[in-house]
Amino acid sequence: MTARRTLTDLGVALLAIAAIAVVLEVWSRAFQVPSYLLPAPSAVAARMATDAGLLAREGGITLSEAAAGFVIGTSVAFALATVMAWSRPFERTLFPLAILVKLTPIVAVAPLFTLWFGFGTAPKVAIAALITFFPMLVNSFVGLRSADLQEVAFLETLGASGREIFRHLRVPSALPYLFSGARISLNLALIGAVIGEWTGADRGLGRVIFVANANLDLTILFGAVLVLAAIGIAANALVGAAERRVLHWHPIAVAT
Amino acid sequence: MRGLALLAAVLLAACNVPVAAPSPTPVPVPVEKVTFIAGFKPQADLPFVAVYMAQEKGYFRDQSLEVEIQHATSGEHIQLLATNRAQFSTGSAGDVMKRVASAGVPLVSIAQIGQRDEQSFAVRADSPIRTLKDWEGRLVGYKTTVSADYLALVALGGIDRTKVREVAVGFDPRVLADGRVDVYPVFTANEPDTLARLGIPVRLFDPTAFGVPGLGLTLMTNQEMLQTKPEVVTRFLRASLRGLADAIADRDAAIDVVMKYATGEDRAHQRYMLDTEIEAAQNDLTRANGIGAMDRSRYVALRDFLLQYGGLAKSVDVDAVFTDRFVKELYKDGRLVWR
Repeated sequence: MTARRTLTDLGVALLAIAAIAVVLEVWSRAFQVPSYLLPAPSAVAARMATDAGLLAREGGITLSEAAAGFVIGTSVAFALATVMAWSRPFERTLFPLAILVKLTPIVAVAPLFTLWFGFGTAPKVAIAALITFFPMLVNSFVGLRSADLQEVAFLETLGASGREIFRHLRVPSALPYLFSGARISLNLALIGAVIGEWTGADRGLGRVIFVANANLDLTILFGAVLVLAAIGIAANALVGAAERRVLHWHPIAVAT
Repeated sequence: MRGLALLAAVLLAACNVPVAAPSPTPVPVPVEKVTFIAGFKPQADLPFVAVYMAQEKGYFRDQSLEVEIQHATSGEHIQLLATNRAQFSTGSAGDVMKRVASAGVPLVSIAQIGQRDEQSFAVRADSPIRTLKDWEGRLVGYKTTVSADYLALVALGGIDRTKVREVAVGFDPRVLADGRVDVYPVFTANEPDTLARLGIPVRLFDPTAFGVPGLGLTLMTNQEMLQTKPEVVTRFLRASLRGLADAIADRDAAIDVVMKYATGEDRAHQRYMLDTEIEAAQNDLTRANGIGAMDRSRYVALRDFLLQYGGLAKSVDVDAVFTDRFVKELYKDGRLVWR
């Protein structure tokens, strides 16, 4: 049932993309739009076929950087959210810092990450981690605080320890929020990795986009963007599937 | 008799009575609105300064032009110029060739402001790297892609490229200051000064000094303007070149004007840039023919060089990427004719 619905959703999405592509194709041909302004979808598709190996390779690099950043950023966010949910003083101390991180323009500080971490993978992972941090922090914090107080009191009367209450009540209560945060953070991690690749990288989809933009080579630029979008959609689908499996008992699993 | 006429004219003027013009009034030229989009943020790049000065001094107005000045942030000036949303912009001669060759973008250089390569390769002043051959075993940065300049220097210096570690470093010179690279590609007009301000004086490997036929920034327009409004191109260029001449004559005044656009920038740094670019804008060709002069043979040499070192996807007709007809028309005996 779920698989059928996923396939249906995918079919609808592909149809919508195909419709947009047809409109753009007709538009670009009818008005003879130069490729350096808007390449025809057929030209983009042809380029993607020609450079499939390159796009797959560079996409894999960006995905690995984003995945590492996602794991690090969300893990740190969850740990801090746990501390904040447990202690009001920590909450008051850490939350302004978290907002500071959130409001820092990543593009402005990205070159600094190269200075701090070098030219390798580390700065891209760090940027991806930084950009994923805040959504997961907020979702985790709200989720951990969302546990029903009567249920907490009930467990306490049964003699449950704080750790047991955390494990058996707070975390399960927070799961819908955690999945929601993960969905947002996954896409942000991809964007963070791409931004990292704009500043001192010789690999990755961000690098492909950066060079293509410099050369006005929009066919490969849009090809890279589409690969990035495909990775994002696939990652979201994975999280959705995991959410349905883990939260099968929750109304949200039915709704997604 | 002439004295009486002059006296009468003065008296009539004093009485606020219109005085007949000594010669027939020229037919007024309709004001043309055009947009100039500088290829980067506001700063003392010489083509930018030329336009800032022409605007400030009213030279565009004198040429019946209403010029809107914009600045590009990420290369969008090329598309804006190509689609005639902007009519004038700036770009290096090599970049114009690349755009035309790779994507058929209808750009044309109309004045060669920078007469030499705008990029060099910097090493820290205290670096043991003294010759090109010393690059072997070192970490050499490139900004976007490995440049033709770099490949030419590799060839000229007899460098074994397999012994060089090349790394994309983007546009932040701090990677040299921080010691993360040994050789860093710089825009000669500003980054050496930026590094010096960070306490890192540098030495430069200048491709031009090694015989690489580079050219710097040009003022450029699009083919549509060239075909349909050449007189507007002439007027724009005339005003800009006069602004440029003023900037060279009075650099302090020019920096005053630059700072109106480049708010928040360091004045001394802008002056460094202006001085460097003025020096790079002058050579024997310009001394004989005026600032902005163009030489077809240098464009051919640049094209052939770029083709040789992979800087061009395919060959390009140099007559399609530059025209010296406007500059030639505007100068007489190396002096700008103002009319």
